[in-house]
Amino acid sequence: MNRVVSILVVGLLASGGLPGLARAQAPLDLERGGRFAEAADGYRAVLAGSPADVNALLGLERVLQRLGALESIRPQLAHALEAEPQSETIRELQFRIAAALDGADSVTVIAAQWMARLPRSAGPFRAWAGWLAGQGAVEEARRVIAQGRRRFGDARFAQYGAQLAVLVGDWDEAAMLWAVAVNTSPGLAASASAGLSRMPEERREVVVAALADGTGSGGAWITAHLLVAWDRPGEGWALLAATLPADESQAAVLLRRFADRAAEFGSSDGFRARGFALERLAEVTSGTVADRARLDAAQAFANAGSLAGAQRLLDRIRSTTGATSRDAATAMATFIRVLADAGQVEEAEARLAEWESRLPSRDAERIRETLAWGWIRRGDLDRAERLLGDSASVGAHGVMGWVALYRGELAAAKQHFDSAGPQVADRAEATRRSSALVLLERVKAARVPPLGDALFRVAQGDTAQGIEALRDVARRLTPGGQAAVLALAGEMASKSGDLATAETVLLAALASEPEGPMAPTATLGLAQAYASAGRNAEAIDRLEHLILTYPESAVVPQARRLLDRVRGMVPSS
Amino acid sequence: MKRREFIGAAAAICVPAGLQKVQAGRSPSFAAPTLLIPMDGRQTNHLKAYGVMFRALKRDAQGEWLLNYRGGSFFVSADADTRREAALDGVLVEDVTGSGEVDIRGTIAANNMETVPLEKAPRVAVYVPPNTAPWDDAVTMALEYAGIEYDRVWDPDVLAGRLDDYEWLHLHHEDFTGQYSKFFLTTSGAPWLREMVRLQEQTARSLGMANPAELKKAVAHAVRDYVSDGGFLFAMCTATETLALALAADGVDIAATFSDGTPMDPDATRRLRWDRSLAFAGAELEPSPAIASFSDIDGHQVNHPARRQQLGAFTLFNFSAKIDPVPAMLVQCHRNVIPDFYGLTTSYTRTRLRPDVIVLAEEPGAPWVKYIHGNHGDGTWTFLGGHDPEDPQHQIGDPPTDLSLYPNSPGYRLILNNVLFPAAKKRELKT
Repeated sequence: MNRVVSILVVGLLASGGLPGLARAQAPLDLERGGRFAEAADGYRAVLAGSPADVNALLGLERVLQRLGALESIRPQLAHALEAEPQSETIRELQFRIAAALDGADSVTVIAAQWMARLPRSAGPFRAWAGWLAGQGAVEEARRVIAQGRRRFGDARFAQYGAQLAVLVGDWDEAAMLWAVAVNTSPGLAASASAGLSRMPEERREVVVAALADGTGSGGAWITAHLLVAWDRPGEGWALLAATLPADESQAAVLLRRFADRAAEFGSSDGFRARGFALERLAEVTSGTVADRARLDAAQAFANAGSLAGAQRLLDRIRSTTGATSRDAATAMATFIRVLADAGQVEEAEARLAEWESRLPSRDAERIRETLAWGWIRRGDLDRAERLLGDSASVGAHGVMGWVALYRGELAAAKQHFDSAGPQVADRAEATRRSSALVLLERVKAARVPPLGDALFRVAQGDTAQGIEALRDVARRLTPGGQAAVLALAGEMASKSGDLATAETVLLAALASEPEGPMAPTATLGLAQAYASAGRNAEAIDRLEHLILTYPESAVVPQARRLLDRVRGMVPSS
Repeated sequence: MKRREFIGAAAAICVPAGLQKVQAGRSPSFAAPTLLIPMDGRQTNHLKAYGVMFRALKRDAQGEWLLNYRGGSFFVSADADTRREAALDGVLVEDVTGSGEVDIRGTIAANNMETVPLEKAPRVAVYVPPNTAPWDDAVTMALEYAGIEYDRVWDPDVLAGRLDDYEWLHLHHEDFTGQYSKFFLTTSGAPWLREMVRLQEQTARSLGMANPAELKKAVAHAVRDYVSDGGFLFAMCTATETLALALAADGVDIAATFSDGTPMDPDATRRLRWDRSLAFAGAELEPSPAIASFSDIDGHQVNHPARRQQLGAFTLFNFSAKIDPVPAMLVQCHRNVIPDFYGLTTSYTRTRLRPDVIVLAEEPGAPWVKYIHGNHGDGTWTFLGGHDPEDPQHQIGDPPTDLSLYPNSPGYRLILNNVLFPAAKKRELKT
């Protein structure tokens, strides 16, 4: 509230409104206190002495609106017009009152009076057209704007005309007018593209060609933004880069808007285009703005998976900022994670060693966990374990649980998972971990290295071999463990699309312990496999059996949802 | 006995259909063990409970609707099929012993509650274009999810008199003014709109009509005749408002040029004949072809920038179950206040309602109501504003609502009350 008031005060000071503001201060305080009727009296008192006091007049308008008594402003409005018939603000207020209280005829007359009294003002054309558009009379609004264009030229009305043309789907006119508006104000390119991006697909090429033929670069800048909206950010960037204005401040506005737009879609190409735009922005700006742009560019390249781009920017940041800023550390943290995800674990670990002291400790911990997973994916469990060292963090215990499981050290794995507790940030990880705990519970052995080996194969992406290994291990386990391992193998086969194997393995799981605790899970897995294969009747049989036989099972809600889907009772996606 | 056959019999005893009462207050003792399907906050799946009940009636099981008892619960014979279906659908049922049933009936007798026998599952028709998925219509979504059988009917079926085969008819967001929901100008070029225009024009031509506006008027008349002959009509969203406008516009051009080649009659509002319509009177037409609004019947005007109203919440009326069992049935719910939801027609302006309309739900203090009911000839109509109770800001192209995520939706319950309503056994008014 204080900030709003300060902004209001600054605005009034800037417009030379201090004397009026001082007079209207007391009623303004009443208004802020919600005492609208008293505030209205106060504003009226000010206006009795100074009929054209704009602050009091606008205050009276506000409080009468709150009181539902706007009609009663008419005498003060009439006096104000008599006192200052040339005031743009009072004319605009008169128009607003007519628009709120009177009919179209009144609005038309007042707009005409405004035009006659202030023949060099574009205000009445804009206000009248805006009101008409709000009433749905878009074509009439366009006619008013056309009058304004004839009198004052396209530039002053281009934005309004373009917005109205978009409303009625006149894409050619909208594009032409937006290009005019953007030539004058490059920052409008994003708004222009937002409206124009809704045009039907078959009109796109024609409109883009028209934009290219126009005068100035406005059309090209709009097209660059449109290409981003149409999921062609790379082409958009190429066009923008080729047509950037020499004026650096205009270029900066365009680059910033383009970079923001490119990030909205979350695609790799979008992030890459954002990275290039921000990198260029850093070149046309200086100081902290340029540093910030480079950091954001590095982040964008990292998000796009473009390691070279991110590294280039981070090196530049280090050379210009002394590598001390917190922002640089944040960008580096992202970069290290990207390196680890891309399999460049050595490089990531080296960067971590270099930057760890400058990273927030929580970030450093998370990066270690990410790097540990990087080593696990590379097949090096020892290095993953060394990297985590003696860390007692929840995340580290979670990763160590998997390391132990992949070694077949089931008791140790359970101990780590128990220490990690139930709080897991990533939902997918929570699901995987609860499946692992069920498995550990059912297998009831402290150490089964072949089981760990089989699971490790699956984790490294060798699903087919991993499933076969799990089937081998299962033969050596007790019925309960056998059913659990086979159910897991079947679920993995189903997810990998090998439905034949999934069916065989899940049926074996059910056969090994038909009434055991794994039966509902295995039955659900089987139904999922049948549903994926389009064998809906068999899926329905299994699901009905599951629901009716094990009504208390935790998988029953999932079974009901799947049953609804295979019966066609809910949308399939 | 068919609804309209029953009505015919009742009418023979000189009782106006609008005053007929459902048979209430009788307390048949169930020969077989009884199940209670509670419909209060304990119910695990309210929507599928209607399906369990509907299918039980289809198997000729005995059923009763316990109005205002635990959210409008049901008694049903405790047969194996019903138990199985309830278990599969996740519907909570409770076994009721003989003494338990006596206790429940005692509670009902002593309070603002009533028992209404349910005698026969109605045959259900949904008026919907042949090329649409069920997920674009709240009623078909509810019917599919609850597992209630229905047939689709479209203009050729309606004009061929096939509505006579059904006790219950639903209309969703059809535009009976024939103006493609007035999206023609604002959404020109959209593939779905092109397909809609193609289908409507082709259907009109194939039925010998000059244009969709003429076709829809003919269909509106057939729907009104269906109600007049004893049918149950339930409509939502645009269908409610445009059906009324199309009926009132007999002989008046209310369609824009893009629809029938001629502009709307400039004097159309004054020439409307409300005595030929349902539910509304005295409405002003929206003259602009570019605004997706039809008249001032709709209180919310979602597509009119200057008149659009914010969504609030609507409150269901608490009717006397013993005196007014029909409206009481239509408002059975476990929630009394329900968040509002937009549609092309969201609500109904109070000043545009006919005096004999029964308001079932309103937004207190607002100039509009949400849910209305009335009689016409030997039948009844019920209108609910809005498009999708669980997608309050629905936009064209939004993903469909997955009702398995909303099994206890109070808004959808209102729709399903209407489906079971025709199953209630009727009796003549006691005077």
